[in-house]
Amino acid sequence: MSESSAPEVVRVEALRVVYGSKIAIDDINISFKRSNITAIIGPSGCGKSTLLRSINRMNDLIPAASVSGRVYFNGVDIYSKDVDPVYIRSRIGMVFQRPNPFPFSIFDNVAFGLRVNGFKLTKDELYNKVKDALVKAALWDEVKDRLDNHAYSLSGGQQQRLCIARALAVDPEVLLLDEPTVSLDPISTARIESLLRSIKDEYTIIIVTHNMLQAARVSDYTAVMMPDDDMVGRIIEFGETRGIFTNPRDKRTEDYISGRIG
Amino acid sequence: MSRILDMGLQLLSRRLEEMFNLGISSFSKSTEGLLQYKDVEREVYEAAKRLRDIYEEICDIATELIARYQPVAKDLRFIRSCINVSYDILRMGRYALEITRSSSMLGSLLECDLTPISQSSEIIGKMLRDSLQALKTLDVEKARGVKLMDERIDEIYRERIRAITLERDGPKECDVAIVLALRNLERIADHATYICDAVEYIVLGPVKHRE
Repeated sequence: MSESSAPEVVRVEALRVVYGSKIAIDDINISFKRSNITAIIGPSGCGKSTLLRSINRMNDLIPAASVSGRVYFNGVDIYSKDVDPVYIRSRIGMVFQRPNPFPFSIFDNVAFGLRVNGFKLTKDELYNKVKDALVKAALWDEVKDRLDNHAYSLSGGQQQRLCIARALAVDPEVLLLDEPTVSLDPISTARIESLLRSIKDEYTIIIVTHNMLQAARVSDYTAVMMPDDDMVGRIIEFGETRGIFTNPRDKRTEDYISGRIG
Repeated sequence: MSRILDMGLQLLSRRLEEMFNLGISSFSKSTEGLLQYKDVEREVYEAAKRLRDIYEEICDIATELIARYQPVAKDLRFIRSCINVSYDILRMGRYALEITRSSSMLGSLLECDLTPISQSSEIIGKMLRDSLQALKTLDVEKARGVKLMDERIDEIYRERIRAITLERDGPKECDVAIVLALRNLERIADHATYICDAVEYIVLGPVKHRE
């Protein structure tokens, strides 16, 4: 089920994120491999989303946030002064909890990243890039005859797949998903889970989810985060999903995934 | 706060204990019938049928719990083990019936030296009681103790086979009856050790597969 020999794409070392004077997460050490889906699970407030946002420097957009430690992307520390965060975010795409399409047509939503990131493409090349992204996001068949329709005409599940297509259009290496199905019905959720499995060979996918069974279904590796006594989020267990859900090593993991705490 | 799943797990535990007690009782009756030449076939047969019913019920409950509550970790290992253990007890009931049937077929064995059978029965009785206790309390040490006792059962069986191949005299009925009974007893002891493997699996996670 998993590719343990796959190359490491993202490595996090001794990461600490502080909001004002509050330490949100600390001593985070973890690596993420290509062609694998890693789920980050844990109770509310344990710092899952904070960790996710640290991986593509989205925390830079929060004025009170400060980050220490290292996050390496293909061996380069993304927090180095000479690294452009906009470039990092194009290589490490992100999909959020609620679908957030732009107020444009379906086509222009997917083409948006290609245009603003300065891709020099002919009209045909642009069309093919948009089509490829929509195919990968398992949305093409549903929208191919109405690409000029407004994105808001799509259902919630379709809008979220559109957002995934938008993220994929700029050829990222890593895809971060922050509870991407939390606002969707079970059928739409199942579609997104299937599409993640279908594209995982080409990407490094990291998904934050509150739904433990989603983590069990969709991921190859699982990281469990838990707040300590001072409410600082830490990774308490990391390993193959199969092992985490059948034989967790940490009692807190056992209690959390079994629904005894959290 | 207890979980909805806990009620299902408790129901499984109760059914499994009921089944285990019936299996032990069936085993005791079958060896008593053999050693004292008592006709217990009907009772052991009825017990085997009842064991089949409880086994089916346990499988149904386990399937429902998996489908409805998607258990993980120790809960999942416990449910999987309940299915395996109930199958072990079902087989124990079946071997008890075989002991009873071979006893009926061969007639009275009161003239035979039944020491190996009484020795094995005594040890297996303790193995079964201890494995039930280990399962109820999830006591890994007790479970490991049961597995050690199994070695003596295997020894008694092998010794008897060796002795028969060397002996030229004596009534053949005794040899056949004793070996048949020892074979079935040895299988019952094996199932007791499988149950103890399940105890270790529930508590510790995957254990090395038995050869």
